[in-house]
Amino acid sequence: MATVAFTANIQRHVACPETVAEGTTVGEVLAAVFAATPRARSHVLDDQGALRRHMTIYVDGRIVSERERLSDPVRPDSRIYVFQALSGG
Amino acid sequence: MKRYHHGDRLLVSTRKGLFTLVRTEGDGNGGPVVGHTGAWSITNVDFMGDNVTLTLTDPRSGYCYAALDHGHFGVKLHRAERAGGPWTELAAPAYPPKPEGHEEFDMWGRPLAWTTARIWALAAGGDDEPGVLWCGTLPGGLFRSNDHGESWTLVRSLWDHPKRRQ
Repeated sequence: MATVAFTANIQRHVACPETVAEGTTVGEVLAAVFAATPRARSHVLDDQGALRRHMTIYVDGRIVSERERLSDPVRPDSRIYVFQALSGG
Repeated sequence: MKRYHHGDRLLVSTRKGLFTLVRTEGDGNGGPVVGHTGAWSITNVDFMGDNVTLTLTDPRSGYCYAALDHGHFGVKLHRAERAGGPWTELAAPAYPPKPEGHEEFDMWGRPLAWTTARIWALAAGGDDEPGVLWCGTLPGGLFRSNDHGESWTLVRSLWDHPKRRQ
């Protein structure tokens, strides 16, 4: 199963401990995670189920390319990191 | 119907939290009580450091509602059954799935996302419809709740009106 970790900043609002979940795409893995932590879903995804504008996800060190369908592939041993995207200075 | 009046209490929404101010008797300096001229003081701070964009006290139930904008993490809605909390997060109004292939643009020609970007307005329903709340949102949808904000439904007659997209 893939390992999923969330940015520490989101923990202020909703508990999202590192976990493991099954799935062959980012969307499938996140769906499994959010089934156990439903409040976290709306913090990461918008009303249409797409990745929020200022959020980003890395799979095995590579940023995902598909933000609406979350169809980027995931391997059983993948590590997925969910971050907020910061910019400016 | 019992109605809750809070003429001596203010909920002040700020980008750094929700401040409750209460007007005490007298002028705050030991002076005499004359009408409602007491001094205001901060008695409570909720959501410290977070952007509280709007609050509502429902005069029918006394429930308090607070809309928050967490930026990266989206718009949230909380309810307290009495002033000062405790607060419980509710489901914020959410738009239904956008039809496949549907494209829509705002007045500046930018793609218009069917997702709640801001809670603009909160209002209580009439005395004869307890539990009813109305919520106006950016990008322009009006929502109705029949259960004190536990769930919300987009008012499709307005959202689907052809004039909205003009």
